[in-house]
Amino acid sequence: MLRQYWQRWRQQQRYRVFILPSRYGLSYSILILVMLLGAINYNNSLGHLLCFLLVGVGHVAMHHSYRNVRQLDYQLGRAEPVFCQQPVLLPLNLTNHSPRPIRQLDIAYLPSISRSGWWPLKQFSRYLPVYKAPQLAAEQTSLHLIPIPTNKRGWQDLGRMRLSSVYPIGLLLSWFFIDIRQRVLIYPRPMGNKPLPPPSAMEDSGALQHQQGLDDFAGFHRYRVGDARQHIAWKALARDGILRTKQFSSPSGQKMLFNWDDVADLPDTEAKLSQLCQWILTADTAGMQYGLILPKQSIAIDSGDQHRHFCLRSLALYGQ
Amino acid sequence: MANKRSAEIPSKSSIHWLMVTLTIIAIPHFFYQPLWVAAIFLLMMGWRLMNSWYGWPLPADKRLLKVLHSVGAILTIVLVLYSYGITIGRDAGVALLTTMAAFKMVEVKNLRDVYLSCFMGFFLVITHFFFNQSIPIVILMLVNVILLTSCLITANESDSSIKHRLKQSTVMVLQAMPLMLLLFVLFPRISGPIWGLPNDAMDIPDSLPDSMTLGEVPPQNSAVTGMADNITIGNISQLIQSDAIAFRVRFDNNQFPERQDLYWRGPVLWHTDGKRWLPLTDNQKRYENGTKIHVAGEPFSYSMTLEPHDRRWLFALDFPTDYPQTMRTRLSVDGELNSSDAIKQRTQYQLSSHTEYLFNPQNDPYLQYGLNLPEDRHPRSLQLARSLLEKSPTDQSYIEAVLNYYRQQDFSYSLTPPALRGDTIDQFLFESREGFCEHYAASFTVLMRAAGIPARIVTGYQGGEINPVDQVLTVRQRDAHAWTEVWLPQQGWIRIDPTAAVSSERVDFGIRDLLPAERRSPAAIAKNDRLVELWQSAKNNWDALNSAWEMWVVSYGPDRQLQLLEKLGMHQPDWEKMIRWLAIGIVLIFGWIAWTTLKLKNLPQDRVQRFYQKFCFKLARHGVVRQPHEGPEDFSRRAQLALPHHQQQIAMISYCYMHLRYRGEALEDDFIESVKNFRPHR
Repeated sequence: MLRQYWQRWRQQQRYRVFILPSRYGLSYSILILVMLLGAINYNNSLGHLLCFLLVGVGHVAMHHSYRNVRQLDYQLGRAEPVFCQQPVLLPLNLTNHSPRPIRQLDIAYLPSISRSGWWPLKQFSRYLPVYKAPQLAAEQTSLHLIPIPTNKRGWQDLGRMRLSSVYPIGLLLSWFFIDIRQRVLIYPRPMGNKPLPPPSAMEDSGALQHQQGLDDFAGFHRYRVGDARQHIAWKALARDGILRTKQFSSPSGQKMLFNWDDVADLPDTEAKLSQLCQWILTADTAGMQYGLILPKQSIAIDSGDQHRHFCLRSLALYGQ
Repeated sequence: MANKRSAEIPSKSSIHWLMVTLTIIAIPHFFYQPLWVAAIFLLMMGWRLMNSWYGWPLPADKRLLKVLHSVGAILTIVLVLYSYGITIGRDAGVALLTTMAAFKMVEVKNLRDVYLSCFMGFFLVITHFFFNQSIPIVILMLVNVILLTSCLITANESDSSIKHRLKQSTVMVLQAMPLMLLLFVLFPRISGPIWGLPNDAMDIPDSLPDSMTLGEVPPQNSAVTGMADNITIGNISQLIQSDAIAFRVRFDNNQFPERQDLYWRGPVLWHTDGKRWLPLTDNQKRYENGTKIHVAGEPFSYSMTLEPHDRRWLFALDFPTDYPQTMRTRLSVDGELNSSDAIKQRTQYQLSSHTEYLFNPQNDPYLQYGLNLPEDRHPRSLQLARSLLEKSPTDQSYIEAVLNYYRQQDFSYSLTPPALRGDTIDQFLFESREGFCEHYAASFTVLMRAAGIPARIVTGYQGGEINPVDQVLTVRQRDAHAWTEVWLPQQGWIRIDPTAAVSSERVDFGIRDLLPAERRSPAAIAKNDRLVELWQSAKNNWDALNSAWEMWVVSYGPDRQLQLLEKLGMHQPDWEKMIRWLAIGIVLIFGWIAWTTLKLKNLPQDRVQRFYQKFCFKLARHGVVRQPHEGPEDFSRRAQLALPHHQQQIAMISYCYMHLRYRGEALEDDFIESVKNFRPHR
């Protein structure tokens, strides 16, 4: 019987829960100490009683806090590539096995685990709060998208998440760690205001068509990341606050070739990559076919999501 | 992380909840504090309420208001200093805390402020005990702690319903009680004070004066909680107005002395200037040698629980023959039992007394003091003494003659005698002839000394009420009394109570029956005998509960703790043993709470489900863990692949399970049997 419980308990422990007083918890203990000194000084027996009751409440709070995060199960999904400085949305499935709701779960993210430093709690201040789940219903599974900040293109190793809660009375922090063990591709940030280069020289007839293509206004669509800035309908934005992009008709057969030399006048590599990224997105949105020529790599003209990812990926990993 | 949390703006509902809580906590203080404390408190609460209802600006919103708010706070501090003096004592501290909590409430704007307010609330709760330590206040304490805990819950979960937060905090406080009781009993108590106490650290209700002045009219509405210097010196009749408890006595084996022997001896008065009566001066007082007591009969052993009176004397049943062991005491030569320190807290001591005794029958060092009378005073009294002395051949017959004089003349016992002027003794003996114990004791002493018989006044208490519920004798301030002792050769000091000559009821039945009826029971029921009886029995039970409460909870200190632990069977308790038991208890309570909070509640009731889970466990031990998204069929398929030896068994069990679940056919026993026999191995 006992063994069975022990095994069940072990099985449920997929992670180790840590618990420490928060700074309010520390002030609370100082408060109790001061009150106890007062009670001793005044020989006030009921003062002792109150202090001991508060000690008891703190002790009970510890158990409640621990219970709140204990019967939780998680599954990580795969994070999709994003553009730099956009958050990675990491899917996290949280299952509450307990018959009670889990309350006030805070999720924080540690960008990189550094093993240096003798004081383990020092890392605490480096955790960025990224997500808050006010309540996980009893015996339910729910999907949460955890926004993880990004700031550099290329492969990013997703470090560690801390799931914590100060529930019920905020005196104690219970937490456990999830090591994400994933890396996610971060595309360069789409940026730059250079106009699209002239269409590929290989297609002579295309040059004229392209000019028309950019001029023929065909309507609006909702702004998507990567849309060229000069195509944003600023007037419409001022009218109703919705960011739209002006769409221009262009023949789908249009072929573009983005060359590293086209952005040679831009000062640094990141700006060049950003500009190329911007162009790729513009071309992709307009339904054009495009190719990419980088100093050590070239990608043939093509279209489609796979092709786009391939191009963006080579931008993201450029020089790495 | 923490920084970000503390910047969160608390929701309106949590602010309101906090305000309600703090107001409930502060209300009892309004009764002890001057009116302006309540006024400032409610003003600040009103301001905050107006802000959340009608959007009135707060100090943080406008510079002018911020200045006003700070100036208000500073003025309040000045007001506190002005009303209570520069040293922050108990009352000043509480007034300051109450008003500052209110000032803080107006500027609560983030989580940190909410916590600060809650912590001030906890502090306010403990200050209640400076004023009142009764059972209702402790119940109020529990309510307050529940409310404050719910405030903390709300601070972290602002959208929680009132029901949820109250339920959660009540559960927490109830679960906290075992640890509270354990710590209360076993936490090694230290006797304070660690540092000095302010003067107003405790309420000394009334106490026996250390001298006595005849003829002063007692101030009718003097403060009941007045400090010693407020008490008009020497008015026992003022004490008679107080129902406050002086001490409680529990006689061992419930052996009570006779009612007329219940004289509780206190200070002895010798010197007089004709009006005031004073004890021996410190130079004159001696403690060693010179006291010879001859006793007869069995002693009465009893324990006294004395309320604090800030003086050094202890009361004892006349006459104490065994001294308390638990404190440093000494008996003076005139029979005063004194403690080495002033009694500043409820004190318990064990005594035994003999009611039959001879006190210094051979000689007494103070006989000379017992004969002194002021020069040229009381001429008519002296004349009376001479005329009575002429008719009496012996000292005994003279005493009898004086007592007869009281009996035969129209003397009467009155708690509200007329004021005396001029020669108070003469005026009392020949004109007013109305008075209470003080008057009789003083005039009798004068008449004795006039006849050359050494006499002195003994003050103390007489009588007391025995509660039939717990057999505790309670002596109240209203039982204060003064009587006389005269010294006769071979007999020593003999107690003579001249008041008894006039009003034997005072001694036979106690003061209670002499009090007006409305002092005995509420006026509304005083007319109905049955109700009075019922009221009396309810009162007895309540008194017994209170007396147990005060003995075992309120005055639970170092001595009481050792006493209790010994009673519970701990041999020679010391702090090491206490810590050991405390540790054991804490481990047990930790385990108990862990058990109750983490109870594996998801053990399914239904047998089929339970055995299927068992099956899953057995597989899980071999690394085949059922995923939440997996149905029994998928899981079975995966398990069969993972454990090919058991393919058939797994398929069979899963099949049975699905059948039982979805068709309800009676394969239950087979299913359970096969789960039991399922022993997977790789």
